[in-house]
Amino acid sequence: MPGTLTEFAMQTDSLIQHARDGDPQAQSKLVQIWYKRIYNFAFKFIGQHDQAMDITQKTFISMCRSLGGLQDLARFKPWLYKIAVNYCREEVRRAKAGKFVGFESVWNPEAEISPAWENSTRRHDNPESQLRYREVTDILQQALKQLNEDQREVVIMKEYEGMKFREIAEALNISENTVKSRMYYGLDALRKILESNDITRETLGYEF
Amino acid sequence: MSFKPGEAEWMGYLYHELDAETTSKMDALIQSDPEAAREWQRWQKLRAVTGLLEDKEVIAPVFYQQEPQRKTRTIPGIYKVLTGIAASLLILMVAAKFLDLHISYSKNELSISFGPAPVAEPIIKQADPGITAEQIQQLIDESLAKNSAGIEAKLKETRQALKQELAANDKTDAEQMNQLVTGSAQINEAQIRQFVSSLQTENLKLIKDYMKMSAKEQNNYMEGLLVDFSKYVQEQRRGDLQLVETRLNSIEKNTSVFRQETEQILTSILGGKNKDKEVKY
Repeated sequence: MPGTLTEFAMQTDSLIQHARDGDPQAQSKLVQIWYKRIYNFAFKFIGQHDQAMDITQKTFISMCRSLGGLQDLARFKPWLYKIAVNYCREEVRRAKAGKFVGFESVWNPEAEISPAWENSTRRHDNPESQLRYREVTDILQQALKQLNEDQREVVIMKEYEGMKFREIAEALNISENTVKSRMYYGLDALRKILESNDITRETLGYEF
Repeated sequence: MSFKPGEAEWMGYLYHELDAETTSKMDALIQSDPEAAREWQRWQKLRAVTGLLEDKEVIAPVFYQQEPQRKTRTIPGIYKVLTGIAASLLILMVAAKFLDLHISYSKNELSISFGPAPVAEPIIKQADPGITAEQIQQLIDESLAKNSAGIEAKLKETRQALKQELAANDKTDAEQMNQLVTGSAQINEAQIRQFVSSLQTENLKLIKDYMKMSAKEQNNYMEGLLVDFSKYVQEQRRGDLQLVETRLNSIEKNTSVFRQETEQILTSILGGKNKDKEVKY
């Protein structure tokens, strides 16, 4: 395990370097490191598990194929998210054109015992708290879906993926100011959606 | 205050990505302007709520990397020819091995043959035609007769010498054996006598010791018996004495009781007679 952030960054750089040179082990390691992040980005963007899985898989296949073309190792993160964003947009377009109905809309995976539920930290909470949490996360997920695509991708990248404005700008091929502007209006829209659902810090109380 | 933050400033301040100067301006504005403070609070509250959406756990699948296709190398023409020659030679060598091919060159003759190798016939030199076979046989017979006569003479000599030596050896052996037997017999008799006498003395000593020990033990035993018997007698005597003493004591008690009773009777009788005399008077 890397001791410091610098050490970690160096290790990641060398890992990317090896993966770029075609080392399958390094590529596998990169997939292991970034899989959860890309999946969660796609899931928050699309809101469907299966599609998010597809997008994640496609993203990593593309990563392995075109990693050789990456010149600057420091730009790996925005580069990877750029691939993921493109696949997310493609998926949205496909869904709009084909009136795609996700499998999860007719099947509730949470109703069954799943490893995700077994591993969840909320498993030990009281039932009321669990229910409230589920409601809040559903509302948040729905609120994100109500944002337009431009705002949604920026909000998710910034708020949940912790990317710098510069990195987001690089990933989306836009200026930093545009990113900040989209972020501002995205958050503002999100606030309005949440307020309309009466979801504020005060209403949630001390449970969260 | 003239500073009015735009969207970029607000977002930069919210995510700590502003330069130091703008950050201090924002700090001052939030401290001084209640409207800006309310705006700041709204952003913070929103972030507190959005932070509730946690990551979903997902397990990364096993990553399989397809092996890159290997480039096929084209062999240049010259190498192809050389490889062909080498392969042909190898085939010829294998075929020759299986067909048992032999190639030899000697006396300006090249011979190629299959199957087992030809064996060269041995060259026998012709004997000298000057001496006839009969003469040779005679010479051989003569030499054989000479040899056998010499051998026989030598054998006789050695036999005689051996006989003499054996006789001498027998004689000396017999003498030595006699000496040994007589010596050993003498030694044995003396040893046996000595052994018997030692046995006798030892036995005697043992019997004496035994007798002594047994006598002593008998004495001890008798003494013990006597002591025990005397103790027993004394005990008996003591018991008898105690019995006699108790009996005597009881007799003495009975006697005293009888005397007292007799005295009482006598006093009562005497007392009655005196009363009668007083009445008479």
